[in-house]
Amino acid sequence: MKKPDSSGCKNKLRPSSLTGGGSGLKLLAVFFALIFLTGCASSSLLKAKTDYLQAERLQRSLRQEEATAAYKRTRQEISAVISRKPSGEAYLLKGLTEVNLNLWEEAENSFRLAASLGEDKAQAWAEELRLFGLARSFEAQGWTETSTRLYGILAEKGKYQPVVRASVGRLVDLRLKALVDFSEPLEAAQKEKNKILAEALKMVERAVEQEPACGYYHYLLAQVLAHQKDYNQSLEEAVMAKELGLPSEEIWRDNDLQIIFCYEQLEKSLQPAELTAFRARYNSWVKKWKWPTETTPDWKRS
Amino acid sequence: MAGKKLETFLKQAAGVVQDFFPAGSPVFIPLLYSALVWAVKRKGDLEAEVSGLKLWLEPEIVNNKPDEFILDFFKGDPALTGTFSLELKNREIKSLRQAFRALYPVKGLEEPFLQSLFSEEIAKGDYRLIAAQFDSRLRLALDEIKATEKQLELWPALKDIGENFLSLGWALMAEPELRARLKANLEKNEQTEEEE
Repeated sequence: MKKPDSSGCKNKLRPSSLTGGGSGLKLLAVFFALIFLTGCASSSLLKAKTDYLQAERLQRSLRQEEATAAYKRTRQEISAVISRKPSGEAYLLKGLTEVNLNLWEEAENSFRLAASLGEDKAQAWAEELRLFGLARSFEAQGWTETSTRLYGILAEKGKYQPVVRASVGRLVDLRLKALVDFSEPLEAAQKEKNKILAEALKMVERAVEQEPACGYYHYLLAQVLAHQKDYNQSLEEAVMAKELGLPSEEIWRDNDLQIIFCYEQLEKSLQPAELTAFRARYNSWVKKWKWPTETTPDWKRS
Repeated sequence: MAGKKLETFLKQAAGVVQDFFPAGSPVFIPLLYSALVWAVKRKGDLEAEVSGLKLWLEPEIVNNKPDEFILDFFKGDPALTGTFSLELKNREIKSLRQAFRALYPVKGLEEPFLQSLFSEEIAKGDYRLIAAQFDSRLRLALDEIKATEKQLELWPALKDIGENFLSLGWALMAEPELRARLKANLEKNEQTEEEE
């Protein structure tokens, strides 16, 4: 008794000439299918690229949630392209998308695969991501000095912008954390605190010099300057950060509250003559941002 | 009439979302509330917003704010000044900083999910309880949301609710009024279900 084939159809005896013709047809079908799939893959790659650019545009306009959704969609599209036709370009795009979704390990892997398929620059990016991942795991295990050293190397010598920015951010956080945790007697503490702050300030200033239009660096600078009680300068940096754009709603709101905090501190400390000029300057920003009052940002409800 | 319609809508919406969570889950009302607030704010992707929660809730910079910023935060809000008067009087920065970690995202940054998660405590002005339970309640809520990631139907369901909400025209209400009505209706629903 003959068994049905895997498709559930019964085998039928066919003349050998027809069987041979069937192989030819099959080959032809495979050939056309390959051409079709290649065409599909390249048009899907193009679609994924377009979606990636759209996600970047949304991110630049501070529509973070929509940008995240667009990056997720791009990642799905590009994964489908890769499963049909892996290429260096596709893996590179996948890696870039994963960086924007903070999927650092996945991005490192994608860049490695991109490099192995001929995208040379991806190799260096993968290395930087590996170092960043290493620094993060050292930090999670409490090895602060080692992680600080690694972040420092990346902040200074890194070439891949997202890793450099994230490293500068982590460095500042670690320095400020040391400041907050400090529990020495007052005088010794103040000296040490000033040293830590000077280091943090130098670190961010260097980053600003390298990328002056990065709003996030100005935000970090505003945070450090507030620790130094330089509210005038902190306010200026926070305003600059707001104008240049920030990477998330959370940071955006925190920056607004930083602006208000500095405004209130300056209100208390400035001399009457300086105060008038300062208020006029500050109110012109408030008007531009359409805040209801000097101390109420547009998103504040309660 | 419109109030009744809104109440019916919210009851139905709560019924839909509740099915995705275990009985008595603390998450579904905050999630529904966030879905409607985000719908009004024309935010694109609710799933992205919710999956971004972890990033939102762990801003390292919040832990490292200067003492003056923390003091200013507590002194600038009469309810917080009253609750933490002793700590403020004695300048107990360590305890204030601990409470600030929880209260700044809720009261300062006004994150809608957190505001709803702790809506009862906010209404009662029980800020000490928020500070004390922040980590555990949040972990529980995030774990439950993570568990729903496998339920792919949840996000389209929430999106539909948001879109229906917009199509019914309530988005034209002033946002504080909308939030107050949402809260009142959702909490009323919750109470009715508890009684049943």
